Amino acid sequence: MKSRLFREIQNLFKELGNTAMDALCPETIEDEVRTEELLWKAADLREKLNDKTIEALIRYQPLARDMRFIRAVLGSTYDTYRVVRHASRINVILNLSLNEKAKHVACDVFNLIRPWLNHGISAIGRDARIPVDDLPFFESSFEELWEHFSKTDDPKIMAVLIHGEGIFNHTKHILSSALYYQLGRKGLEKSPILLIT
Amino acid sequence: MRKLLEIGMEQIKKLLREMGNHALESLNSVEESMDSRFDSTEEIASRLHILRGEVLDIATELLVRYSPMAGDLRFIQSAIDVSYDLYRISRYAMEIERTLKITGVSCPFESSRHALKIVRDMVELAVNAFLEGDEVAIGRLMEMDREVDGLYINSIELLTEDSSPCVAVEALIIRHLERISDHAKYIGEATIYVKEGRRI
Repeated sequence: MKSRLFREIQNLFKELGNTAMDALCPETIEDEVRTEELLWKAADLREKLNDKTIEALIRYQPLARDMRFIRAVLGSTYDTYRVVRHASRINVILNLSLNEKAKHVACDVFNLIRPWLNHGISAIGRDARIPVDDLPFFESSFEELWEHFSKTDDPKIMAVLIHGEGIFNHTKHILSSALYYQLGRKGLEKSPILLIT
Repeated sequence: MRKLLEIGMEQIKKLLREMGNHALESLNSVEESMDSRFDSTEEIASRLHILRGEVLDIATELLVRYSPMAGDLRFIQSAIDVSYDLYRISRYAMEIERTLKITGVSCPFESSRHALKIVRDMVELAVNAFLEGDEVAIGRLMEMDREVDGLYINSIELLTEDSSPCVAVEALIIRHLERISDHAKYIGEATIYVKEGRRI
């Protein structure tokens, strides 16, 4: 029974993760209907995951790794939902009026963050390893992107960047939850870069 | 056992009270930033992120150790949500400050100041209502939320007539304040859930 519930949580989390990955797809960045659907789906999955994780805590009093898994899911469910929400806000900005430059910035942000979001979700959902040593490159790449585009006078580009930064921060939270799950609190402390947002 | 659960719940209440105070502090900083006096709401948001982690730690421990039921379970579930709402409030305050810093405009922001006063009262009222189990306050919160929604709609309508930087920035600020007001309302709704077990 316990393993069934945990598997169910893992599958729900994978589904939420895939929803977030879909929301960050540069090819469909302007598709309003699709983005709206993804947002509703993410909100629904988030509610389900909250209920299931609390059920798991009460019914089975998990310990050690199981407990860390539940904590990681409980924490990152909210971050993953926020990623989808930020993506939906970017979609609204891009649909207000055609602005190729803002679209280009949004695609750059999505392309930069997607692989790392995937690392975080796969680590919690499928036990995949996070390339911890490459984390500083993720941080510096986003900083570079921000520096490059933030000197703009175009409010749309700035708005896209601000939402992009939100996605970046939530992705870091997901990565830190994933690392906490895999290596515990001590393992997380070895990657202080994830503790700063 | 019951006593230990109560001690844990009191700890959560203490943390939520602290988070509420920090959220109000971030809203005070917003007012100062409207007069171009920028404070570090970013720091407050980070502090709230840490406090939210602490609430989650205690909440999971209580769920695992004592398998609470009925009102106690609903309180712990809701405390997790309320800690998230308070963290979001500080993030929105941070976004407002950042918007003002980036745009660098100097305007009277009359509507924003009015909306800010309402949301500050809302946050205070909502946190007190949740911690004291005062479900009557939700009616007042709903009323205030409608008032903020009205101000937001006005700011958008004004933007269609006049797209000067002051009007545009004001619309942006009130948009964030409207979200803060929603989160304060969610906290109020959680109070009803804890007391009566029904979601509104």
